Amino acid sequence: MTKERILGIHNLSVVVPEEQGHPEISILNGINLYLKKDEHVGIIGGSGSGKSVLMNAIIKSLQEPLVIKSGEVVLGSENILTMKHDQLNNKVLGKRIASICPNPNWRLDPIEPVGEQVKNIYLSHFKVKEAEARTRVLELFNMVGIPDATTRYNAFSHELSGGMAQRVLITMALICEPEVLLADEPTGGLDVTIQMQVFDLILRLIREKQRSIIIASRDIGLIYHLCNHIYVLKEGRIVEAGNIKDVIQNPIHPYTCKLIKLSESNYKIRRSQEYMDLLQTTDNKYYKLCEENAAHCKDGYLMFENEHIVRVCK
Amino acid sequence: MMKATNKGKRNFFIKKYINVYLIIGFVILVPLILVTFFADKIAPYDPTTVFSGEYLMGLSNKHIMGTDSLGMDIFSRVMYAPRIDLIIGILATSLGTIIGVPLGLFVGYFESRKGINGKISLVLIRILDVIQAFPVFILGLAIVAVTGQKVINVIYVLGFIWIPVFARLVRVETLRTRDKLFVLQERAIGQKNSVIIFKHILPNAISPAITQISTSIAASILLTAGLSFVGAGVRMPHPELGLMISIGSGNMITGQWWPTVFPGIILAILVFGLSMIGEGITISIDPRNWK
Repeated sequence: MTKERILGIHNLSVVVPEEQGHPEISILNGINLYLKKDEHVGIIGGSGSGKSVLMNAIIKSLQEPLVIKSGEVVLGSENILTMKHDQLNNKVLGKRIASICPNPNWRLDPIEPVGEQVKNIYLSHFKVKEAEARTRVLELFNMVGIPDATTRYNAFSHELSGGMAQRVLITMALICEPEVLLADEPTGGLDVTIQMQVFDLILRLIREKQRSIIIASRDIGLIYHLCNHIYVLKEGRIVEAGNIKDVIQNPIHPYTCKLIKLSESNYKIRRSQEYMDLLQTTDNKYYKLCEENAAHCKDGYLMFENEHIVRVCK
Repeated sequence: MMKATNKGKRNFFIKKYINVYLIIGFVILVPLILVTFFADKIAPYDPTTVFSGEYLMGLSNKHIMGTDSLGMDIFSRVMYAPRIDLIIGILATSLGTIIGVPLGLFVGYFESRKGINGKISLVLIRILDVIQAFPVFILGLAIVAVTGQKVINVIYVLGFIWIPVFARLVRVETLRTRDKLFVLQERAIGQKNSVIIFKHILPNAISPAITQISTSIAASILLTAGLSFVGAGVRMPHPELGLMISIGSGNMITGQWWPTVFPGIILAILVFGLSMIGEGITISIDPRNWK
């Protein structure tokens, strides 16, 4: 059963370009990532592994001084990275790809009512009447579980809790019915109970309309429950990729092992010797992996069954 | 029942928008404006009548604030003078604001971005630098030399000077705002540039400019005096606060303080009232201060 592929990232590299005195710094290095229809892809990796940069690169909204050096992001049949600004704005962003981000309170205009903000996005993408747009916003507010939506429509971002603001942002992402959702740490900055609510909401949303979603998170539990495909990012490279069950249950790359092991460990073993050893896992294991499998290695990657790929070279 | 809701609405409005700065500002400015507006009715003398032989008379019942070196009644002149000052100050500042604010928004939003807009804004910011570096009095003299001494020219000159001031204020705030997360969010969701600029950046970047408006009106009045002094502003018999101060300042040394001090006090009250209103507006348009 092969499904239609809707988003493909081929050989994407992002760099901080060379300046006087600074050599070029590589942020993302040859990323290949595919998203099929109705598939949920998870990206895990430590801080600074390039998760957010990857998410921003997909929608071509990298901040200075980051520059896309090579590669392409293919949505349907078009390459997003070569599109003109207007075309990208009018046809792709919001309508076909939308993102959900962390720090929800900071992502809402402090001096405009939140409902108006969502409405304005709908109005600039579709030619509809004001009242119609308002009804649609209220409808979505109810759907994502914002209580007393009519009052919240006129609320300002500083009057909302983190969970509520995150719901408003999710509404903002959903309002134009995009095919692909990008969720960059959707539960970042929220406490555990609110995390659960947002998590349930995302689960419901992707099940209901069979949306495709890419989720970047440090929370392996979240990824495990939501996704069916996983990519492990380390220092701007994909080090392991495959079916979620294969990767989480039989991790091969030492970094993946470490991430999974550490996320399992709870506060009781935080002081144990095993934990300390784990923290100090060095790069030696890479070389071991590399030497052992040199014969089967293809472009630095090892292939296992079920499209399970592991990077073995440093 | 109906009355109750109306009262509720009014209370809400008062709580939302009215603050102590606005009240102080209005309490000061409203009487001042009323007096200057009805000056013809209440002033004891015509402001340009010369009482021959009564030069530099001290305070008396006939001349409450004394007379100046030409023998004109200072009390009457002080009543008339804010008229021309307020007109010049408000019009010149509006001119600067109307041109400067959009310019600053444009420059700030597109500065150091790729594309044609980025290049235009680079050129614009240099032009603004040049305008700001240009000496105001030379400019005033030049314009007056070409078009003649009219109040409207003073307004043009001052308005021209305020353009870079407002543009730079708004530019800095725009630069600060444009990389805030909520702007990035709007861009990521495909919002139009025009909506981002006018609905999100402008309201967030405008408050220093609003405070500047009241300062600018006050500074315009002072600059008018300077322009009058070099012969490019308001001409002598016409009552104008800055002109009265600059002419009267010569008599300070010999002990006649009244030709300078009274217009100075009125000017200070005017400026204080304007800045209170500016401060009050800045506070009342920010939803974070609404209760």
